[in-house]
Amino acid sequence: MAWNEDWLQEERTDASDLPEYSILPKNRYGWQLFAYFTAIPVVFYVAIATLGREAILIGNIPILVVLTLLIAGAYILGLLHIRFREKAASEGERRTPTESDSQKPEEAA
Amino acid sequence: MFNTPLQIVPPETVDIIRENFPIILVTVGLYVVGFLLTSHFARKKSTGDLVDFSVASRTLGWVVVTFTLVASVSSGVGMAGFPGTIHTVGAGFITSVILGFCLASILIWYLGRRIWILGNEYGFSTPGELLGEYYQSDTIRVYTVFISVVFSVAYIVAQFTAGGILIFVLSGGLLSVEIGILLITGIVSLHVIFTGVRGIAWFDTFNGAVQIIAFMAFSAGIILHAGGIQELFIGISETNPDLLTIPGPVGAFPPTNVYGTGIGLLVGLSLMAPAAWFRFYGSNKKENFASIAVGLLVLFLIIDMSLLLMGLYGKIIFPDIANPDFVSSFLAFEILPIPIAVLFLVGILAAIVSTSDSYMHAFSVTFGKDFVHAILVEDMDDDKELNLNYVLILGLAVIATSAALFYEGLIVPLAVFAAGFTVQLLPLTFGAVAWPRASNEAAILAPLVGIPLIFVLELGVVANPLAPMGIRGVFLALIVNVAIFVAVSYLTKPVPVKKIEQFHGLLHERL
Repeated sequence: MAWNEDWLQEERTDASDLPEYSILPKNRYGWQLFAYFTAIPVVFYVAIATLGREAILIGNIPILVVLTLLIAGAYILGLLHIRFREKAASEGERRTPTESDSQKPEEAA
Repeated sequence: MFNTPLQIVPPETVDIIRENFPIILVTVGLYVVGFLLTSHFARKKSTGDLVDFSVASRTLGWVVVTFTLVASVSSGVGMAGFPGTIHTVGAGFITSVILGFCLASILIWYLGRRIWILGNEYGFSTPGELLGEYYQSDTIRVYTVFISVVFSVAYIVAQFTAGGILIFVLSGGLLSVEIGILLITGIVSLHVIFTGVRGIAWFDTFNGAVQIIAFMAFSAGIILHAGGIQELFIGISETNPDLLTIPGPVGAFPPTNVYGTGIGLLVGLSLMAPAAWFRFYGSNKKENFASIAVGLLVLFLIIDMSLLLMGLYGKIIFPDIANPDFVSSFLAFEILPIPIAVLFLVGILAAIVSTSDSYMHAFSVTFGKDFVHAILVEDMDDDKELNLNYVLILGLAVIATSAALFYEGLIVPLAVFAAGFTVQLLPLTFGAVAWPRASNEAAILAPLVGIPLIFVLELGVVANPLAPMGIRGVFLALIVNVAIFVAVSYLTKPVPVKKIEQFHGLLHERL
């Protein structure tokens, strides 16, 4: 039986010397996504805590059900946006010739 | 011999089934043909090696991954029992479930592609391999094995028990519950052994489609019978308005518990369950994960809205039903044409099979790789490990069948604990794929406190101080886990830089 706790033998660096790979978004688009997907549950909480307690029907549909469909719809829209953006980016990468693509075979060799 | 509180279909249904036996035989027969065909083609496609058995050689497309995730998460017990829960506690329960899937879906996109990149680069095929490698600790590997074992056993036993009852009903009482349990155990075990995760995923796709069709047909039947969806809600708002608001008629779902149950149980089930990780690893590219997240959310929205309609309309048709767990089955045979009602029962059977095969596979691979291979027999080759997986599946089949036959009512609570356990790995996963400040000590300590805390709080050994605010023990244990994880990480040194470069450096480069 071999029980390995290799981390005990490792030399670990100080936090101040850590490489800069942050959990925080890298760019403005990342921050926008972060804000969108965290704001929705916060707004939803406030909405169900206030309106969700009321027996109100909107178009004869209970408001709690309407709010539930709205949060799901908002997440689906946000994720679809990510999907189409990622697809466009990967197609763009495929279409953009790289330096090695434009090299003649003998140059590449 | 068979004395169980877990009942998913009412015994009275047997008489209706007997009167319509030819329809039942054709519907179940078509389902079995679908099962045999998918198993056959998956077997033909299989390369017969360990990677193919574990993660389908990382070749699954997003549609298959989505359906197999949905099918493995949506258990038969839940499908049959959730309308009964809504019948009792109201629509707040479904709000909680859908909220949980919303949060799980964005995390599947965020974490799933990171898990995939690391798995694809370093050949990981279990949660324990990724987390154990990052934190360089077998303690953490063993956490993942423990969670996988508890989770898999609890869910499989509950599914086998439910499957036995369903086969008893679908056979018109010709096959006993015990025979039903043995039959379903045998079929699922052989299916997993012969086809691996590819066969499971393909069959889950078929099962997922059966479930969606069955639930949509059920919803359409309810809407037609009620004279429109608005009439249904008006009817409920006049007779039982509390069912349409939170916290609901029994006060079970204040906003805090809507969030607590959604995060504590659903995120665990659909994101952190070992079976989910095999699907992430099995995907054929990282760009799949946004599509998977959308697909998962859309499919669960369809299923959960159907369950809501069943629960609410059940309250109108059967306001004083003795056992609310039976409301969906009674409703099906009361308002639907017999073939659609039978399709619903077959949809539940599909959910039972899909959950069982997924967790049998997850159990065998995690236990085999992260415990036996990593700790007990380090020099085991791939062929031996594959054979070990087969033995583990058969061993689990024997244990699960015995537990199902001699079931004493502990499995359902255990299943709730198990879902809470899985989410205890969420902070560790964030540390390994997104937060380089996480430390080894924090990763070991946080679940060590969090997991026993779930037992202590949920069993009432210690009173949950946040219970008056509607916060469940599983959610409180997660909060404690996160607090310890972050605090201890800041008090200790991060993991070695070479590991940070291997994991976070690679992700920084690829994303």
